[in-house]
Parts: sequence; C-alpha cells; structure tokens
Amino acid sequence: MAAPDMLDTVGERPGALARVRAGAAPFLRNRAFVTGAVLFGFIVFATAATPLLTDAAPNELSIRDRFQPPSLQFLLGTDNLGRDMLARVLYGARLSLGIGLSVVLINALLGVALGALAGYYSRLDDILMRIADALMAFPAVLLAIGIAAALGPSAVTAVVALSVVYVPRTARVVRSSVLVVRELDFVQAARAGGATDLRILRRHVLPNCLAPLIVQLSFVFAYAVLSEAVLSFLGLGAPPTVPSWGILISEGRAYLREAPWLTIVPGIAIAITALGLNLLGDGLRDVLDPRMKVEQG
Amino acid sequence: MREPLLRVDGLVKHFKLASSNNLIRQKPVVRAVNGIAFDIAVGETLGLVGESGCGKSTVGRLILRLIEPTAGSVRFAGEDVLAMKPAPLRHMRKDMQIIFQDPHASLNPRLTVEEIILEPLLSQGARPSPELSRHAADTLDKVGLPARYRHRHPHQFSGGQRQRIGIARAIASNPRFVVCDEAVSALDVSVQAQVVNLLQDIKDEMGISYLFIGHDLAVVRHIADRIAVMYLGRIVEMAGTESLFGAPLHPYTQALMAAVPVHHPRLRRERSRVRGELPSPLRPPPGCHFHPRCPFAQDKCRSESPLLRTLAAGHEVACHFAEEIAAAGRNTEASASREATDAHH
Repeated sequence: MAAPDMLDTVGERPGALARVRAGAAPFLRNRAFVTGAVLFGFIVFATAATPLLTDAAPNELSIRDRFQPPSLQFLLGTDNLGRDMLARVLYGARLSLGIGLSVVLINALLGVALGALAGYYSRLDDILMRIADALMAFPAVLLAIGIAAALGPSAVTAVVALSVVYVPRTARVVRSSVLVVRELDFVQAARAGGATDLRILRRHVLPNCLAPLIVQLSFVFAYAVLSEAVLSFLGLGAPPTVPSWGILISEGRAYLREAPWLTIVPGIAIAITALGLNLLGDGLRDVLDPRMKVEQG
Repeated sequence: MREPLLRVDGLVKHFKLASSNNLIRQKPVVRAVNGIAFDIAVGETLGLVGESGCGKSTVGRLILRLIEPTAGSVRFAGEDVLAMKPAPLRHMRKDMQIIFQDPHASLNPRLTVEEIILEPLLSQGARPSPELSRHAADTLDKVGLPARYRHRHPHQFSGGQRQRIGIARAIASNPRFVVCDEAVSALDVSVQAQVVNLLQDIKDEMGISYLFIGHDLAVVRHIADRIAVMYLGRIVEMAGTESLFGAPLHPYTQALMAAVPVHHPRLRRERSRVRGELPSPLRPPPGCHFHPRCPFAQDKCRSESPLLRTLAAGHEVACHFAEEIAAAGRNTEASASREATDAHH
C-alpha cells in the first residue's frame, strides 16, 4: 500500500513533471499493460514506418524469386509470384489495423450508447434487445457475408458488415452491466442529489461498467481482424490488390506445405496484434480500477 | 397550527410483478405501501420501524420520489412533491437527502471522497472551485473524518468510515430533511452508537428533520422523538417515543418489544406471543392484516380493517380492541415485575 503521507498532501501542488510521473506510475507497474503496450506499439510503429523499413513494393512481381524462403535478401521470404512478404505484411497491416480499429471505434460508440439506453430505460430495452436478438440469431460470419455481399466488396463494406455483427454483442455486454450497476445505492444517491439521467449514466453507471467493456472491445478487435480475413478470402473484403493479412493467409493457404512462411508470417502478425491488444485491455482495466491500486502500490 | 415540514397522506405503492404468462392481463400486485399518513415537524425525528418486507424502506424512497407512488400526496415545505416537474424537483432535492443502509454499495468506487461529497452540489450546477473543496473538507470534519482523507477512494475506508462519508454527502447540500434508511443497521454495535450520536449532533447543529427507518427498537428509541410502527404496508401504531415504549397499545408493537433481548435471565418475559411468518404482501389477509398472527384476534378482526384512531393524546393505534389488550397487558406486566422482585429476594 502507498504511504498515507504521499496520498494526503493538502494544498501543495506537485510540479508538472512529478505529476506526469505519478500518473504514469500505475501503468508502468502493471506488467500486462506494459507487455501489451510493447507488442501493440511494435505493430503500430511498423505500420507507420513501413517505407523506412523496406524498399520493396507489396505488389512488385518477380517470377524468378518465387517461393524464396526467408533469407537476408527477403527477410520474410516471397510468395508464389515472387512478391516480398515483408512488404506485403507491413502494407497489409494498414488495412487490417484500420478495419479492426474502425470496428472497435464504432462498437465503442454505438454499442455503448445502445447498451446504456437499453439497460437504463426499461421502455427501450424490449425494442432494442429484440432487434439485437434478431441480428445475433444469425451466425456472425454468415451475417457479415450476407451484408458484404449485398453492399459489394470494399474495405468500407467490411467495416459496416463487421460492425453490424459486433455492435449488438457489445451492446448486450454493456446493457447487462448497466442493469446491475443502475440498481446500486450510489446511483440512487446520485438521483437523490439531483443528477440528470445523462450525468448519472456518464459519471456513475458507465465508469463502473468499464471492465467488461474493455475486455469485449479487445476481443472485438481480434475478431474483426480475423473476420476481415474471412470476408477477403471469399472476395467480399478489400480488392485483392491491397494485401490485408486475411488475404495473405488465404492466398498462402494453397502452398501451406511448400512455403509455410506465407501463412505463418501474417498469422504471427495477427497473433501479436490480438495478444498485445488483449494484454493492453486487461492492464487498462486493472489500472483504471481504483480498487486495484492498493494491492499493487 | 403551523404546516409541518413534511406531510405524507394516503401514500400507496403497488408493484406490478411481471406475469409468467403475458396473455393474462391481470398481473400479480405487491401492495408494498398501503395508505400511509404522517407529519414530520421542523427539527423532529420520526422513527419508522417494522419487520423486513413491511414496506418501510419503500416509504422513504417514495417521499424522495426515487420511486413513483401509485397514489397519495407528499407535501414538503408547503410544496406538492409528487406534482413537481423534473427541473424544479431536481432543484428541490438538495433539501431532501438520504443515507443508505449498505455503506459498501452506496459510494461510487470510481470517485474520490471529495467528489462523492460534492456530487449533489455539482449535480445542481456548482462548478469545482477552491471554496467547494474547502466545503468538502469542512463537511468531512463535521462527520468526524480528517480532511486529508478527501482524495482517497471509498475502498480505503472501514464500514463505519464509509457510512460517515455517506452522511457527509447527505448533509453537504444543507438539507432540511434526511431519510436515514437503516443507516446504522449494517454497522458493528460499537460503531452504531458512534454513528447514531453523530446523526444526533448533526441534527442539533443543523436543525435537520429525520425520517429514521430501522428495525432495532433500541436504536430508534435513542434517536426518535416519535415512532410509527409499520406492518404489511400500513402504520399500526404511532406515538411519542416515551408513550410508545411506556404503553404499547397494538399487539404487534407489544410483540416487537417482547422480542427485544433482556440481559438478566430473571427479568426475561414470556417469549413473543406472535406466531408464524409475515404473510405475503401479494395476498394480504382480509380485515386486520395482523389477525392471523395475533393472539387476541376475534371475528371482527378477520372482516373489518381497523383504522388509525387516537386513544391518548398523540397516541394513535389501528386495533379494534386496543383498550382491552392494553388493560390486560398492564395486568400481566405488573404480575411479571412482581415475580421478578420476588425472585430477587
């Protein structure tokens, strides 16, 4: 436990640098958060700095160099058309991360809003949750395929389709937490103090629903990246000229025995991203919970 | 006579239960509160006692409009609380506050103590400022907690300390009326006494009126000026504290008092004469709700519901045979105390 004297400084304001350091300390102490940040940071850095890391173009053909295993010349090998896998994985990250983050963002906004409304206002609950039931009655991938097929293949289509699939699931998670939290006495106390519904939701209910939401969102990201691979595999995602990780895996699948690196490399990229985000989410959940501070401090 | 601070009249709350069969229109109804009426004067404490499930907590929440009543009226400082529009109601809430039973559920774990205490003021549109911080520190001081604790989170406190924080939140907006909903029931006995004394001090200092809901007669007796006894959604007896403890008129009140443990084995009276369990508020018994458990029940009790009537000055009771029972009670009481004195010799 932190020394009480440190917590109890009254009146004195510590300097800006000290305050930043004090604010960051609980994050740095959390092993899951740090590991996740390193892994995910590595992926984001590689995606942002792609032109610095490789000269090769992702779609440059070189039939002579086809099926090269990883070597000094081709760090991650080449595919059936002699295209450089390092370049393809790095450029593919842009699309995969972009789609994953877009779906997570839409989930965080729409899923939380709809879940909060359904959980807090019992009048809306029936309507919203029956719609969610209808959407969730379809198998996730089938629904995404249906929507993507109706809208025509593109990256935006994939985002829309995956959002339609995952927003009801996120809303469900948020709703069930809101249902529990809204009955707690401190919410009644907030109402007795004259707080508006919006204030009660924002300040009292939603912050206490954060833990399952963070876990759900990191789960949604991982599944969005994987489902995008499914859509691309079926020709319903981005056009094949843009190599997303999903496309790389589905293309490499045919040569699994002769050139396993074609599937393993993008597979590892997806695994690192999903693992990093899950650890980041778990760490974030713990650090943001004031009850956890004492145990770690 | 001056209008009392709070006047509750004919308060009714029926909870409709979800029916297992949606095709049947008639849903089962829980009659949690069934026509409650009382006044509370400025600076007065009314105790509200009764078994679990008798509807006493619901009464507290109905008055504050945390639940909407089915029928009845609540007038606070001359204003009709139930007719108020949302905006004026929110504004009025700073005058009526509540202290909860469970100090672990009643504080938002994400906020600091200062944020919790100031929340009612911030909800009313106050902006955070150094003056407001000082107010939080002063309020903490009033409830006996050091001001330097104000940046801590609720989980760093004991149950008694948390309850003090809950009290600080309730009095931060300078209310005129506070509902104490089993405010000390969850605390250790030693802490209970401290918190009851704190509530008493705050009342004396700030001139607050309390509705003190509880089931521990000893605690309620200590703090209340008047006491109302509830049974299955109705008040069965209401009187000044001394009058009620001196001469309880309703057989239910007598049974409650007989259930209070007596320390000296020789002084122990006959165990509670009340049989059975609290009937389901889904199907309350006809006539007097208490008749299935009452040792004095007669035919009239099974058919006719007794109204609250004034027997002595300020002593109201809802029992057809209160006079007879009181007379009989005095006789057994007298013989019991005679036996006790005999035993001492």
